[in-house]
Amino acid sequence: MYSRELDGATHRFGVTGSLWHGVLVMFDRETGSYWTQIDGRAIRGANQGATLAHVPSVFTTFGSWVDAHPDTLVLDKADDERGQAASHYAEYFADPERLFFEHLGADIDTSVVRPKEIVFGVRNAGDAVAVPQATIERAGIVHLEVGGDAIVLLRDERTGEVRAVRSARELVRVAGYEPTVRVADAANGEVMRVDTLEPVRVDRAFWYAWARTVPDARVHGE
Amino acid sequence: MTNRRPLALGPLLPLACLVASCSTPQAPDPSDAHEQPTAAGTFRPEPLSDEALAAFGLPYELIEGEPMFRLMDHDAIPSIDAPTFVSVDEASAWMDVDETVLGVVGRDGTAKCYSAWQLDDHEIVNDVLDGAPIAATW
Repeated sequence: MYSRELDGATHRFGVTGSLWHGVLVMFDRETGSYWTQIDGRAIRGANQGATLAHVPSVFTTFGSWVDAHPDTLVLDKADDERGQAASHYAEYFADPERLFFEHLGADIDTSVVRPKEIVFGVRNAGDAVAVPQATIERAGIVHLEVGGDAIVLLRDERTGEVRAVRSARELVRVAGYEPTVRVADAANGEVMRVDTLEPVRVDRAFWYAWARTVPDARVHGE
Repeated sequence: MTNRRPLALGPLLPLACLVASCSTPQAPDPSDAHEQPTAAGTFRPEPLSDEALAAFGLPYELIEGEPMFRLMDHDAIPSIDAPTFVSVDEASAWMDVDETVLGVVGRDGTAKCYSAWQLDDHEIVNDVLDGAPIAATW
């Protein structure tokens, strides 16, 4: 919530219908300047650089608010009805991720990974695989085949750090060590330091961003 | 049900800063795709290429290097510009005790609340509270 006063003048704000950084952009009717809804900053126009004063407000339930403020006024419903969508694009406005999915088309798989889930992505030889954060958190070690090569994703439970290494061997945990530090060869029990293995670039991203950026992105299952 | 989150709970998802690359281990920070430098290394978001921007099929302008996509025209979502208010008794006809409202108290102690679903529908309520002009928005 913001004060509508700026340099002693009261401004009236409208909805531009535009999104910037996934953020709703307002405009003032006096100058047409654009303002971000998230921090009340004018990003374009005569008022560029100004910031609206923040007015403290609270999100709570109607019941709690009335308990605390029994004489409160309540915005009148007037002609509003619940669940009414302003326009075809109103849904994108409410959920900017959808903008990307609708435009990328139906080939983006959201059945396995939700758009805002974090994934760790590995690219190799024209291939790409994303491992959901939940998967690597559960497993600690995940073996992938990416572009014909065996790549292993490892996670340190203490720090949350994730790294990838190239290894044709099946790697397993070693008691007392995090997988990012030491692992063992499942076949013969040989313990090795992970920093002696060849590191592979791993990207951390929101699934919808990864899917948009990497063609034919696929998700690693459990 | 929309996926809107109140501003008070965290940042909205940035559109353009989406893929962070790192070749050294990182502690994940799922709260924001604009990664901050950490002790172990730095994620740098990759900007969208011109081709990627054009692929959305939406008009856009670059502001501070980031695209502002024009989904609709001004006022396609109508702000409330002359709000009227009712008492709790009257509002109880349509308000649920468990539904979310945005509440505010003015400098003279006047309390007002705005239902989340109406804020969803209108995004902005241009109001005056105890003489102070305010924009109720979230």
